[in-house]
Amino acid sequence: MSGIPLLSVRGLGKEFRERGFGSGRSVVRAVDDVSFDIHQGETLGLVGESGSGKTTIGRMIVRLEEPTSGRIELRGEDLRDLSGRRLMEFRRDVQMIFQNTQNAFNPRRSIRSVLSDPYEIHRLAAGRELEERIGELMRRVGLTPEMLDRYPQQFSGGQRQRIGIARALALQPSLVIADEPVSGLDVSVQAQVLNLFAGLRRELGLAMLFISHDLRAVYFLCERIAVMYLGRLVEIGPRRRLLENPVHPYTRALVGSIPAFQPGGGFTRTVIQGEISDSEPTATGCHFAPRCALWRELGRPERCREARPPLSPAPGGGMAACHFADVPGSQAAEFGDAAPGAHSAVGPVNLAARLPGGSG
Amino acid sequence: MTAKTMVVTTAPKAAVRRRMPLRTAIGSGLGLLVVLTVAIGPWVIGKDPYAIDIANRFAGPSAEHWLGTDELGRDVASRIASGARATALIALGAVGIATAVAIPLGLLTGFLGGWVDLVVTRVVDLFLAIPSLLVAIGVVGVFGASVTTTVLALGLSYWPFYTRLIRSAVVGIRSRAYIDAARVLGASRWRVIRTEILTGLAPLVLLQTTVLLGFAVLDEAALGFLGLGVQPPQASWGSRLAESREFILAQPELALVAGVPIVVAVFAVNLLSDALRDRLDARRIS
Repeated sequence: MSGIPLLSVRGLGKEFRERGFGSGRSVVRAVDDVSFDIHQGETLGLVGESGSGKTTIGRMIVRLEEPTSGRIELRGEDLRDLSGRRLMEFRRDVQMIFQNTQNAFNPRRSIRSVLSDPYEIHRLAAGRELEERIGELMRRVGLTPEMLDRYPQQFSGGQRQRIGIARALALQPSLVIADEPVSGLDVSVQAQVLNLFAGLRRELGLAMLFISHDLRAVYFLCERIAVMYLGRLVEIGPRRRLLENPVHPYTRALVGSIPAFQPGGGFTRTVIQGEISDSEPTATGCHFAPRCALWRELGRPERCREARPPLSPAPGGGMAACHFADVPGSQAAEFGDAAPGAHSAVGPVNLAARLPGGSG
Repeated sequence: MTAKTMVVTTAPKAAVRRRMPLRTAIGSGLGLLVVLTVAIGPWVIGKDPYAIDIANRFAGPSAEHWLGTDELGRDVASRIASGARATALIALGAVGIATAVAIPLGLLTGFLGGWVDLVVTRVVDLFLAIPSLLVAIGVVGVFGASVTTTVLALGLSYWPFYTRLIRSAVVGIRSRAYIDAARVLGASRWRVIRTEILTGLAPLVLLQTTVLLGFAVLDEAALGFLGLGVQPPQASWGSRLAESREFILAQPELALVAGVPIVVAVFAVNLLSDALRDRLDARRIS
């Protein structure tokens, strides 16, 4: 991967202010100094707990939300400068797929009407041609043109998500922001939709930001993975390295939290202590420290509370934001408390037992 | 891993034909009666509602006068029929004014939000704090009682809560993901309002309009009864009620005859709006 990235995010920040007037309102920093690139045809997985700011990043990239600080560039062009015709070109280039399939469609409009929108807004097709294009779109996502006259509520969740994908693909974008596209679906349907994503990527050469909290889905679909915690990027790297040799304690805990079946029966998983709300978003220090097993293990060093760890190159590729990423022994350290009834020795993360065996 | 996908298609269920509920049947029947009275009533009765015949005052129902005559010997049936026209005009006019103000204002406040919303909503609250009767008395006090002022007075007293209703509906729709989806596709504000918000608003507006029509008929009668509405001798259901009031002890059947059409009309509108609400329920679209 070389040359100018398709999407470049630099120092992105977003603060939400409490509603009302005056200066006494509290400020929530949803996204805090996040930077990453997505190259042509590449899929980046963005994972993190609810409230980690991953959806907000997606919404800023499609300009549904205005960044408080930082820059987003598409092919080297700052999004803030876009207006008029250039903005419409940007809309054709970057599309979004939404999580909640029930809310993503107007219940009073037929699918035909919904899928005509992109062509009408951008004056791309009308009449017979429009009809053909919509039909082609339906077939592409595994539905049939005969379903066009139905209403959203007459489809299952998986079918609706296919329609959501069709709507996003209509403008032939080069980048798609997929905001938890499968988390609302049954597990059996998730696999179908993920397969559809994988197929479409191959055929269309799409670049994608795949936002999810499901590591298995991300592992299946993405070349690189970025992990967020409380608005900050804590680790980013190639998928295999990140999941097999996670550097940041939070990533390790995330990977360890995937239940893994043991050959002898039962399963193991590690549980991160506490809730995300236990971590106080401080300007200084590491957000994860209060829940960090490594921090406790090392005797609660002051450094983690005082200095924000910068993203620095991690062994094996990618970057991680931890002061003690290179502490020997931490690689094999046990994280959190083992779940009741689990084997005590978790050891190095046993990926084979936890993740699907696909090679992508 | 193969990317083979298969989708099971299901045929839409054929709509189950059901018998029209009794409620809808009664509502439509009564509604039709009211509409016919307004449309062709005066023509069928064929009497001058203003022709005075003192010698024949307080006459009971007869072949000549279907519902008898009033205190001035005028034909009650034809006064009710031509009064129905005035009342219908007032109700439609008042609801029209309220709707015409409420939809743009509700869209403006609900969709734009921010300080526009804050300012307009406060103004609406201010109007909500004034009893509608007071508004009506004020309007009549300034312009004098007539059909036009009754329309104005009722319209003015309906718009504030209607605006609030529209606003809250718009706020509810605005937070749906399909609004975001439209914006991401590049839809203009106007297009979003047209294709996404107004489509969602249509059932509410239709329903609220029918409910308000019922209120307007009732309120016109109330204003007329208080002498603030349409003035006698001009015929309306309200003024008919006002005229009969003086004789309520001696000739109670006059007041009764004056009240029945109001009850019928309001009852019909309420039944029909109930039926409408069930029909427009988004979950039942198929």
